[in-house]
Amino acid sequence: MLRSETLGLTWIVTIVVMTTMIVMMSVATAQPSANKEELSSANKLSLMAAIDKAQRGLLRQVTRQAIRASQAQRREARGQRFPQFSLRSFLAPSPDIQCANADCTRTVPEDPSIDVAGLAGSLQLTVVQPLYTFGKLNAVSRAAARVDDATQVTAQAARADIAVQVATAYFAVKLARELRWMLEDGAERIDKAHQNLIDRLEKGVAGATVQDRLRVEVLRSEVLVRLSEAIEAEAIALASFRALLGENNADVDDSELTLTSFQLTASQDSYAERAPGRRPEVRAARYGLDARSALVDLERARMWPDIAAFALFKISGAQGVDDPPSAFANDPFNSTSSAVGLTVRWDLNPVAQYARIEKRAAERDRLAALVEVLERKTSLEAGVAYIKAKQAKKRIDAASQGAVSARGWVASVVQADAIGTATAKDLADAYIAFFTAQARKLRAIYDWNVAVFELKRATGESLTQNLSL
Amino acid sequence: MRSIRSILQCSSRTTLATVAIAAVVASIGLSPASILADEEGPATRSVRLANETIAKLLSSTVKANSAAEKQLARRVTTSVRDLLDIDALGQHALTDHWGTLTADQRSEFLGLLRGLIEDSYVRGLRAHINYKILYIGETNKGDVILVRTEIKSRRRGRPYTISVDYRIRKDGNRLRAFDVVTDGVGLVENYRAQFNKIIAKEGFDGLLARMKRKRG
Repeated sequence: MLRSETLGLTWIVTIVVMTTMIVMMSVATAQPSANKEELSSANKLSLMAAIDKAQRGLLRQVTRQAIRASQAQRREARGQRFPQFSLRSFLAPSPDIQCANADCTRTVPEDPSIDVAGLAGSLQLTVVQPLYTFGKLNAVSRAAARVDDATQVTAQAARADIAVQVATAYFAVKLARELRWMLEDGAERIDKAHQNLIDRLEKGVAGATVQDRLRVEVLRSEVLVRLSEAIEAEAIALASFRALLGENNADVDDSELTLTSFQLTASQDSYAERAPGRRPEVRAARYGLDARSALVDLERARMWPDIAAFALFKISGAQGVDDPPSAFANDPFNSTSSAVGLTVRWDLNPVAQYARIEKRAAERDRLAALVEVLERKTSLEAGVAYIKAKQAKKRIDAASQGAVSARGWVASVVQADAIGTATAKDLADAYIAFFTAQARKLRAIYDWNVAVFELKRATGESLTQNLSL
Repeated sequence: MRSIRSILQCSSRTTLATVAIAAVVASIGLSPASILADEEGPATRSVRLANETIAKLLSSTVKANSAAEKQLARRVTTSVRDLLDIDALGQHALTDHWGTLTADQRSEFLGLLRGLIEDSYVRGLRAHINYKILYIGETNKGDVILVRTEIKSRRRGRPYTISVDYRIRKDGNRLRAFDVVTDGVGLVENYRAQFNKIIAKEGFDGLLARMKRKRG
């Protein structure tokens, strides 16, 4: 019947349209469709759950140990202010040395001998308490503290990077799947129309030609090629997602690819201005700069001595050696002494020390310049991220309107087709526009969602606050 | 009137894109499930009852070519005509030429239009798509009542929504739709433009010829 022919032609045109649409589409990603068993056992995660899982993975262990080391270094620097103890002792065979006279001015033997008589031992305890180091201790403490601060802030940056990567992979999986479903839907319809056309050709129904069949077959192959690309992209995105989470059966949840709710509340310049102050990398670099300044101060302080209080106690004794009855006799085998006082230690090589100061100052100034470069870089990144987000939003608005109009277009053509006033080309054009508009809308949503996360990362803002998915 | 069986056979091949099917269905407004707004106005009630009646009729299983099938077809047609005032729709769509047509031409045109729309209506319903109609509400604009609905369905597990509005007017003691607006596209506006274009190029006889070819 003519109605069937029209339907058949309609299907052919639909296929042509869809194929053309597919050619026009640029599929972002594709995934390998897991088999049903794999999907059913998959651990499906929302975006926030996935980010949390990724941040608690191996990265956390790495950053935790780095923080642990820097905190230990900080404690070490603080420990320099406290008393330092030194204990030395020995125990050895005692030689046999006897006083030959009452004043012990002569001994037997007169020369060293290998005779052994008992044991000899000595113990010396020294305690030193730094009192004033002309700023050395402060400089060391300050440097260690800034390094610790930088390490912790760097860990924040690593966590933020992970969050952006997870979000990108998450949205890529969803986009790929939406596009794959569209293509699979189209492929199914093409197959039905193709079979219908073959049947009509076999029956000799008017309106069906060999060219129509061949055109459908070409279009079908194009759909299958694009579908394969979509499946591939989906596989890559899902593999990335799983690698980031460290879980082989992780998957995204079943929610649709929807718009992330977020407002661009400021201008591009405003985002660019506040980025350096908030970016963890810049803060870490500034901490590092302060640590460098502390090292310069340390070298300057080394031009001056260290003043410390000390206490010394020493006792030694040998069983085989007579103890001379004189406080002035220098008897290393038998002695008891103690002392308390102040000590000054000053190792000075002015020429070399000034050179060391200059070296440290140059390193500090170099880092200062790098910090300024980094600040400009982060401002640039924030500005670029803002532009991307703003334009992605505009694309969404435009694509959404296009999708609405495309749907109306299809509806109008179907209405016209119902009463015989539409042609196959009318249907083809409408369906091409509809699927193209849908694909563009999905891609625009993906671009916006990723751009929001990149903007928050670029400006150092929290990746989960003021955000709803 | 074509048999229900032939309609059903044709409808099994009606696998247009989801939007297309929904658009066709939207022009009918039937659904196995309805979701009502808080307060249902009289026009909304008319639309809903008509939709539910037709859906119930089409869900009946009858033997092909039996008397029951023919009776079912008549009941479906009656229900459709109770809801859709296709004569008014056709007159509005052909308003630019209505005055130039003879009574026979008008009658032939309306007969073809009625048959095509009713067939399309039933075919869409038989597409075996699980959908729900949400009755959002109605507003009065002069003597026209606008009943707003949304068709909610799923394709490959993905939800989609189509807006379908009915423009209702009193016809005696009944409320009937003389226009159906799907995703912002009204039948009257669309058909008026289509008819004017075809008539300008092929004349009124050309328009009738196209409709007859479609009718079969």
